[in-house]
Amino acid sequence: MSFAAPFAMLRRRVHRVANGPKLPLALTGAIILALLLAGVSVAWYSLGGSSKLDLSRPGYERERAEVRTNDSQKTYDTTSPVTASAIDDFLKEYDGRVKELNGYGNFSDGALDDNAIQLNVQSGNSTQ
Amino acid sequence: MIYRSITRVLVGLVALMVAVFSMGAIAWAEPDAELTPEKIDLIRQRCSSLQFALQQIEKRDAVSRINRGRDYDQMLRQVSALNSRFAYNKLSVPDLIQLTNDLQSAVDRFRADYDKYDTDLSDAAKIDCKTKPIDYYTIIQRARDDRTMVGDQVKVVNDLMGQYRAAVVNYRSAQ
Repeated sequence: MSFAAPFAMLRRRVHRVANGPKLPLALTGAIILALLLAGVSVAWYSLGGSSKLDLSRPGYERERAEVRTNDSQKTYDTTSPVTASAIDDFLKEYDGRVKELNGYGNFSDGALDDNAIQLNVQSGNSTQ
Repeated sequence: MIYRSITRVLVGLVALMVAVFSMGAIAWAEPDAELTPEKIDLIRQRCSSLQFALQQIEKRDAVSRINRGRDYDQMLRQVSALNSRFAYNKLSVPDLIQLTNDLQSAVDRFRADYDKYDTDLSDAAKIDCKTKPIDYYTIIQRARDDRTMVGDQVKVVNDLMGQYRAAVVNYRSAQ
């Protein structure tokens, strides 16, 4: 048994595909490329951290409503003179933002404490 | 005589190694110090409701993270524009520039800390708390610590924003 026969057969097959109709080859190539690009996108979405903040997933309907959506990309004047009224305008917007930020959760409420998640042995037993 | 000295040194080394490893063991055991058998039973019993509670916390925190992230971005754009305006008018404001850099770093750190915390919650969701209650509680403790770090970073950003405001008010008074 020699390796020449299977190798020649493979070469003939490749030759036949290369010289045959191009449409199946092009379609296969397109599908492989699409799968590859989709794989890269999903990996990017998962590993890049975007998935953690994606509220468009099912089950996040209520949270979606709580996200502020009226943010427009505001542009600021960077060339006019710095006057007292310009600084006052700046401070007005700045203070408004501070007020908004104070209205959001600040991650310091002990939401994961044993009592909060009812893992306190006494409170847990009392609820049983 | 020489053999006795060598033996003493060896015994001393062994004692030192035992002491170091014991300290390590104590340090490793520390996070589970609160985990009593009763608590392990409680985790098994309340497994489903615990998973649900963590899911709700994760959802609520994601909203805070997104809203804060957007406001921080907008605030950074606003302060950078004011710094540029000072620079365009040939006014030196090194303290404002330094505070802006600090703010940017603090916001970046806030994002990184949140990612870490969120990964903890995802890890907890993957663990079956009925069969592995100890592993589950260890991850909850880790998530708790990481959430505290996120909260601390929020305080740092708030503090820097306050300092920036005070510095701007000083420039206004000087005009």
